[in-house]
Amino acid sequence: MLCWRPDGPAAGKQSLRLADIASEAVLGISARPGRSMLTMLAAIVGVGSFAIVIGLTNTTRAEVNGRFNSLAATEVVVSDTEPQLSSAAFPPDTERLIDRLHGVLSSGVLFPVGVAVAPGVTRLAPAAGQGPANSVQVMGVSPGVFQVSMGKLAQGRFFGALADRERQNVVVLGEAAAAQLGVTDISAQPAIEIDGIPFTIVGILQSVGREPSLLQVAIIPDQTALRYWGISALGADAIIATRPGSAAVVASEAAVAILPADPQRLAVVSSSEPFIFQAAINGDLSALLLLAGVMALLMGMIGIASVTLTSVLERFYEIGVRRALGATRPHITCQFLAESTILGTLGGLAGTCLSIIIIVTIADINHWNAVFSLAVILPDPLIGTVAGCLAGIYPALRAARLDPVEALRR
Amino acid sequence: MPATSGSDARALLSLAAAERSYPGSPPVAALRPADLCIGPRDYVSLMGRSGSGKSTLLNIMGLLDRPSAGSVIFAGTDTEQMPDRQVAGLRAQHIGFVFQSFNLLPQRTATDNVALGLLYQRVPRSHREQIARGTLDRVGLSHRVAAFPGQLSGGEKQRVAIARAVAGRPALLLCDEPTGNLDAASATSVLDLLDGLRDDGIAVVIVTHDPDVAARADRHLVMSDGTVRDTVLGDLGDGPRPAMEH
Repeated sequence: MLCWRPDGPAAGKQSLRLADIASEAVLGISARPGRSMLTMLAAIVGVGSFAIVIGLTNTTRAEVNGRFNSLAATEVVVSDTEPQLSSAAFPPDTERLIDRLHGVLSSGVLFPVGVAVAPGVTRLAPAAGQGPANSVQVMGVSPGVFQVSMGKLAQGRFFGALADRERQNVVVLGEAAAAQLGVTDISAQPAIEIDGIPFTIVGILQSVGREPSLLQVAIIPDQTALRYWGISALGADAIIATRPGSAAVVASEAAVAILPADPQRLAVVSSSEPFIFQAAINGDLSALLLLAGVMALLMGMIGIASVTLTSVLERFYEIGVRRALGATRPHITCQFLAESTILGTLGGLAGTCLSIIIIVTIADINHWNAVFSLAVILPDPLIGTVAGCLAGIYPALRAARLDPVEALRR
Repeated sequence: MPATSGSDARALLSLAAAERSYPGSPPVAALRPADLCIGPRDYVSLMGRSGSGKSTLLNIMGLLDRPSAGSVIFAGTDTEQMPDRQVAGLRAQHIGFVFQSFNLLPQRTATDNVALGLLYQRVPRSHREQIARGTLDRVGLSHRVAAFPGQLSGGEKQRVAIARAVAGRPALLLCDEPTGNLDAASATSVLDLLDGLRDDGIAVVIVTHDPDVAARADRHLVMSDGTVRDTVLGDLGDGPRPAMEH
């Protein structure tokens, strides 16, 4: 059956094949499903939490950036700081003055019109709809405002420079204002009365990219407003759309360009500054959340190490048997390291999948767009592998250090 | 590594003044200096009361433990300075263990348990299973290859354990009370199996309390208070004398 080998007791090469290490680890894992599930759960929690924190950070950042979007980054607002003065802060050719500046895409002036009588705006004829006579605010705007605000029409047209210059009685209703006045169809060119003066409705504004308040008001040419109601005591603003990166330069030049004689009267606000601030906040937030993610991962690793260590303590006699059968200390180390690494990998995979589900669910509940970066998602299972391997080092070494006689005695 | 002078060149295993003590106040001498040789085909029984040092001697013979002093020479090679890796290699290649409590892995089939004995010899997986089935067949368990230890009787478990120990064709088989947990019929079948292994050329050392088990051996060692001596059955009451070299 056998005989002692006459060629002596040379030990020869003793490292196990990778396939043998893997198969022994898989057998070890499947032999204790409960314990393995606990280890995997620790990996799931660790990697999952890490992936959730990172994923949610990206999603919320994208959401915040979306709200504080590039439109805001390319916007400059110039405000009249002394509206009580009798002279207008913004001359009639303000748009032309501003548009000359380098980096300006479009500009416009707008101000609330001081309509004295309430209700200031009423529906003249039952041209469309049967809504009650009502009052809405009136806003005087220069034609450029429609371009700056990226307005889109539901019906009709915007008024242009000609209507503004000739101070025509035309009005564009914001969608909400039209609904409030019961105006749903302007094909028959209905009119409204503003402070007793008839204005023809030429368009209904459906949406805007900037100045959402325009949707709530009746919009008339600024020169028409000045003709009937004079300079607004409520002040006026000029809104400027710039090319990306030009907002700060335009902001520095706008006041002088508009009102060279008294530029101090105009206050200029550029959105680029808040953006820089936002970037700083984003950076701080990311660092903080990354720290939280790493902490979660560490907790998961401690969990893996803890369960693996318990597993070592429970498997003393198996370790003793393996040592008696010829396993070296590195063999025992490899056995336990491979088990914790495989469980870490599986936990990492499951944790990553779970994190995707949770992020999508949270994003859906909050009406956000879930943002996943492959550069972040793909390495997550690998993080589980590394976490499992690192967490398994101490228990594996502990197992390998066991004296075989002592191990067999237990 | 040089062979220890004075040892039998034909010996499979030699102990030269090997002793084992454990720290304490005073230190506990589990094995007093012993000279002992086991030949390639020896069938040796090792008897003694509980605590006499049998297991300590067996562990040292099996290279599971190292002597505090003296040396253990395996096939002419002194193992004293061998690193753990090499000693483990000797165990894997040349020494088989059979334990009283079988020490089978409960979640593995009989075949897998036997194949585990070949893993550390780096036998390829496909061959491991083949050899394991063949060995189980030789110990009369060809019908239980897929059974888990929990599904086996005590005698069957011990036969699986023996199959695991000899599947790698060791030169030395160390059995620590292999029939201690078995009924008479199972014990007889296991002992018959061990007799057969001796006939196959394996040196067998059996630790036992049972004189009937010891009677099957060709050589009888008795331990008392850490001292080992050769004896003949029926002469266990004689005073100790040094174990003789083979």
